[in-house]
Amino acid sequence: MARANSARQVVVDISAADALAVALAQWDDQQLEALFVRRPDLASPPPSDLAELAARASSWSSVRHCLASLDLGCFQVLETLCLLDQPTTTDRLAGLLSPSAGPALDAGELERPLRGLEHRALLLRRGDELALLPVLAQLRHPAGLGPPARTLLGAHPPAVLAAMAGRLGLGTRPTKTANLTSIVELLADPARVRRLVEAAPSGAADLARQLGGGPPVAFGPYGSHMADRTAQGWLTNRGLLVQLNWDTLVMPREVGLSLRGGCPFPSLRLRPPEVAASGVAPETVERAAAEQALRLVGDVATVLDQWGDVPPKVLKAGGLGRREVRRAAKATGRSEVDAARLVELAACTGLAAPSAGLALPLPAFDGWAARPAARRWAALVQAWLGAEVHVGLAGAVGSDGKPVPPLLMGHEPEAVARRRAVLRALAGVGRDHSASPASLCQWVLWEAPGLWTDGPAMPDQLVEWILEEIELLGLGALGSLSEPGRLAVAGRLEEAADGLARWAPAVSSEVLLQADLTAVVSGELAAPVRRELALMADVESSGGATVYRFSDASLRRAFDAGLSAEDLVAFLESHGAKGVPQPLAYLVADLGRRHGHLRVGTATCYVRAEDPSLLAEVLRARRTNCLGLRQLAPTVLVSDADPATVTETLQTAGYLPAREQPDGSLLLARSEPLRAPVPPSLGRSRPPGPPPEVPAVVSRLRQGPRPAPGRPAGGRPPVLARLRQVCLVAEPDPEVEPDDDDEIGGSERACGTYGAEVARPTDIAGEAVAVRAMLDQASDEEWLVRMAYTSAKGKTGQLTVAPIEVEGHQVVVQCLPRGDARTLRLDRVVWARVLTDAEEENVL
Amino acid sequence: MTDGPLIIQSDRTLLLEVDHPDAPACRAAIAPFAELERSPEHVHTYRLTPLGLWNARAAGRDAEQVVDALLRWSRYPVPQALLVDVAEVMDRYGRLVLEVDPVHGLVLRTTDRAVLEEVLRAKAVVPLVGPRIDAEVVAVPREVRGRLKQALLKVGWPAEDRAGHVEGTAHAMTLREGAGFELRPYQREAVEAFLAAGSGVVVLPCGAGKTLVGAAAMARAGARTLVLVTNTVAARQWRAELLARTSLTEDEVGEYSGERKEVRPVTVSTYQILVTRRGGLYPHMELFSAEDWGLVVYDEVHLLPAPVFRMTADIQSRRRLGLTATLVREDGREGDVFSLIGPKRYDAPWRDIEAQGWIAPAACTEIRVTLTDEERMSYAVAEAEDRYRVGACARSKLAVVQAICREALARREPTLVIGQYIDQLEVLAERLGAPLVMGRTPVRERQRLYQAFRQGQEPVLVVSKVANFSVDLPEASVAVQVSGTFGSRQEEAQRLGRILRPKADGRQAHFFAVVSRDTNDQDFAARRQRFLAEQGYAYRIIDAEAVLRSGPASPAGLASPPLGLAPGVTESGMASGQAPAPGEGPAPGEGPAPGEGPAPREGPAPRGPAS
Repeated sequence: MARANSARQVVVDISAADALAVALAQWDDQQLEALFVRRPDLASPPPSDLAELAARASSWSSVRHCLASLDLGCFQVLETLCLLDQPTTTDRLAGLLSPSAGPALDAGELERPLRGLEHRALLLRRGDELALLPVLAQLRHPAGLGPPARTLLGAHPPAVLAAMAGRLGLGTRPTKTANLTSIVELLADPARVRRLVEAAPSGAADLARQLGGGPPVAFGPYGSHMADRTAQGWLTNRGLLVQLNWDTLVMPREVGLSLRGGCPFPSLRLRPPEVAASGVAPETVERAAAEQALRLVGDVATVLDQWGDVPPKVLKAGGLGRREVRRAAKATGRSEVDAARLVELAACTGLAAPSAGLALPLPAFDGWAARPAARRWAALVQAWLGAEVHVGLAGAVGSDGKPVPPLLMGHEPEAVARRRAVLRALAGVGRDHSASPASLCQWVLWEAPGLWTDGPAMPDQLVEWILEEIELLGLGALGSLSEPGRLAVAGRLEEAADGLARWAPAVSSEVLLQADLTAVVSGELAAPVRRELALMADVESSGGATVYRFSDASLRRAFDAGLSAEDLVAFLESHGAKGVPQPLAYLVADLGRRHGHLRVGTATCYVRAEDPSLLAEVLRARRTNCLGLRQLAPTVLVSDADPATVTETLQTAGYLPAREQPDGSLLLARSEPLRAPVPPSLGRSRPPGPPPEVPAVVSRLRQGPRPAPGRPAGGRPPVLARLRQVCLVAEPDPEVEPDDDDEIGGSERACGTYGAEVARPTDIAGEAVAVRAMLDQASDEEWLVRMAYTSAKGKTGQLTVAPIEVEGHQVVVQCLPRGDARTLRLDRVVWARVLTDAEEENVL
Repeated sequence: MTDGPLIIQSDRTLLLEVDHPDAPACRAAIAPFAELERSPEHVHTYRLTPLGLWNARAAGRDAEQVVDALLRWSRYPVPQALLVDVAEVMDRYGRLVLEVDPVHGLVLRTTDRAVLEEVLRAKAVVPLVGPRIDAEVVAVPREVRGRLKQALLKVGWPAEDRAGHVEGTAHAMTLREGAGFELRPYQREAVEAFLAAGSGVVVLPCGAGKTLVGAAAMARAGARTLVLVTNTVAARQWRAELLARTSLTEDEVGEYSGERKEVRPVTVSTYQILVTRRGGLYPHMELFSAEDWGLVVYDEVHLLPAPVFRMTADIQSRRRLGLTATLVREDGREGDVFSLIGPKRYDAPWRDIEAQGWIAPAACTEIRVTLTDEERMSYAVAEAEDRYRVGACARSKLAVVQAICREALARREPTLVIGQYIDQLEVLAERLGAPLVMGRTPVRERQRLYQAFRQGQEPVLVVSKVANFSVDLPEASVAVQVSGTFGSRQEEAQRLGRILRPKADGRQAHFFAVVSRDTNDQDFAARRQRFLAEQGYAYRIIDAEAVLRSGPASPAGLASPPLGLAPGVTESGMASGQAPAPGEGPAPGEGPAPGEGPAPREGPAPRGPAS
């Protein structure tokens, strides 16, 4: 590329363009038209004159594009021409192409590829003289061979060359040129190179043979000095490889050629390979393909209908998860791979797409589903032909060993041309012949080898995928295209659809209802009837016909959807081709009778009374209007207001309501006196045995905090109860926990200060509720608290604080010893404990 | 799209549209390889299973015939994969052959070495084969012939048994054809098909004369025969039948049962006695080796108990004839029947035989009884395990059963009342003034009652579960089921079989199921309905009120359509309150035309839910 920008190159190009323009001027219109067909990029935009055409045709970007469309024969000839000095002759070309041992190549055989190159304006011919466009010198490693040895080795210092000649046993000559010439001579002699490689250490020989087969480059990191003991070193020191830079080795062209016996292509493929085909009855192909086509159409509808009800989630990384692919596979009775491709195909057709994390059918699906089966198929085929994505990639095993999910929405513009290439190959097979996939693959890869590089998989894998896609779509079967398939490939989709319609079941709205509670639909059911029937019966088997089964559950679904027993019977009667069997009608009527006998609704609370007249009064009282009371039964009212509001409102209205607990007993408003949790140390340190002494019992009774004045009594008990639970389960941090002596001391102190002061809790609160209660209490009692607190930045540190006020989710504290006030968030408190008296004195 | 009668589904079921003009031809083409699964009125369902395909292969059909039949009759394109699979599956049968080698004795020979290598690596097969003789042959110890066949079937390579059968001790007997009976054509075909193969199963519906097929096969085999039946009563009936239909004399036919232990040239024994265990052993299994039997007949092969399979595996060199109405086994051991008794050799769809006029078409009616509030409450509060009994034994059923019996009596229809719970049956027997046959009833008494029932002295018989198996009650034309063991498929087939016996005058048989509404009795009835409808029987559901309204009022109401006992009386007849003229009962031979659906299908619409 860099060379292309040099001034000299541009000059050459211009002169080449001139030469091409001269040649083109002699072409007739037909030839020019053919050029535009073969190189469509030259025709858009249309060139104004031949000079512009020639300039564009000899630009590297256009030439590179053209190379991708060359068949293998043309390409091999082109590559061989690149190896020869320009201009050259047909004889010289034939001489290089024919192996030294084998029979000489017939010049006539070269005519087709040469003409192919000429017609693509890549080659200029004058009589026997051949000249490639100079721009083709940019072709990297033609025929998998490196640059000429003279160019590569010429860059070496004379001493290196002399040493190399010595190693090769050529004897050291006085001048660099002489050494170079003798080395290049040796490298160009196949017999001597072969002997050299045979004598090489085995690693070196293997590497030489590998690079000889092409491509001629090895990458590594290599040092500046290469030792003989490594394979690379051995070869480099003998000129079989040349080090381009610190990490690239290249094999000189002569070495590669010598290793191939002097001929660039040991297997020359100037003619297309034969496609192996065996006989097959066209009728069988038609039938099998039609079956596949119709089944695909039905299966796409099945999957998307399912998605319409329960849309699958799309993976975060994009694509449809394996579980969902399995679901589709189960619904259609296909393999996971086929199901994935089916989904991909539906997406290509614009029937479904990922949307907001879900895969959903698109509105176009409804229009598609309403069309006859054959038209639906044509739509799928049309989309597939133009899809710039390899449908076969979905479901294939990816690089991570897992199947590639469908709906990845990839982009592969070459997919269209690749697909066309395979279809062309298949279309070339006779109607009554079945081609073997392997030979088709060979043919396709011969026809346009450049098309298959840079795909998402190896070329033969890509061909295989496309062949499988063709079978999936029912364009062909058994290695042969079906008649609708051929029409579709030729772009005659309407006719193709008509051809398939011959096999498609007629659309009807008739159903055969049977006494074993099944319904059989032969062929295709009109979409509205199908939707309705699917509501009231479950599909039991599908295929050419669909068998539905009525069951309690399926009919209940219909009732839930608002259909009445009469509606159902009317529907069945209008569509039942042979009447409605008596047991089915009975089942519908019987379920209709039972449906909705049990009613379920929501209400927040109820009001009940033994006396219906009292409830009637409450219901009509003006003051209870705001409660939205409804009467369920003479003795039961319900309301959506919460129980407290209802109670309060009723009280205000002058009634005397009482709250009920779930078990029916009365909920008492009077609260128990509050008690602190039992300190865990007491339970632990006291050994079981003699009954406790009376003073100790009394002291324990007095340990709990007194109820704080002015606090609503109602809210307390549940909080304390929870607090108690928390304290029993909380695991104190062993490092922070005061040892046992301290605890005993603490409790003794508690005993000592009986009546004067509330004992300080010795437990460590970890849970939000417990922390809150502890801080609350500490602020009331003016205790200091030690806590671990996580800052907004996520750092956790310990604080000693004097809680001032607990407010909502926050607590206002004074931090010690500095004394600044801070507002802490309760949920960030990791743990908290009240300081002992002694600790408090220390801090203060 | 062609116009064939067959539709092939992706789940390998075949749907046959019976009203299609080509349906009979298509049925004949697919019946040999596809198993009839359901035969409701319009579309019959067949299933392609490996076992079915192998059965066909065993009967000499090849994959090409099967594929041809599918392609020829299919309305829509047939999935290529299915055709390929059919061919592959069928090809599996016969790759391995069990045969007798003059040098090495019993051997397993293959035409495909890879298959032999594969099966010889299967864990189940390894312990059953002897030394390898060459690449294609492996020796097989004689005693594992049956077990090897079982194992090979399990690994998917069923072996064809060409090792032949021993003749057994000859014992001449002939069939007394001409003396009041003739073998029907299908019976003759069944016998021929069996004898050509030497062992296998003949599938015929109840009442189609399986006993006679057995007797004919015995006469043709002309060897000492062991007949295995389900219980003692059935054993005595077999014995009586053999004495009546063949040249065998009293001395030649023995009974080997709980009561008698006779081993004679023809011995009839029961599965019951064979599987009696003492000290962990089956002392009566010796019977298999007590004589040099030339033929072993297994009646009701779908009920064959597992220990008998084991014994059968050891007598693979004897001819074996299985007789059954259905190959469907509740335990799913259809494969064992295939390996050990033999492939299916003959079958005929029930409805076809009916259409030929051999079996009275039966009409099935489910009568839904609305329980009283009290009964509903006791059902509602019953423990889960008692619920079925409480629901099924509702006293509200009594009146309905009485009404049916009264009507049947008036029409001189011999009637069976079948139930599961003894206390319910006792009350019924008392109310109906009919004798009760149950497990406790001595065999002698049982036989006396059956005899009286047959001769018309006892028009109504109340029977418990004992009636389920092999009791021959030729004149029963009405059966009323008041409770049953959870509607197993087999039981239904048996119960329906009770009343399917050919009637001398071609009258229609009736099957009534009295069911308590809104209880799980009804759920079980739903399963029964499905099964019977799948078997192609007309099924309808009516309300008890309809029966009771028309029933007790006047004798004229007896023939009213709610019960449908009189064919040909339409709804209009009832709606206008017209009573059928006396003596309008069906004349002999005046049943529905062959092939036509039984009359009650056109019966009145349900009225219960509306009221």
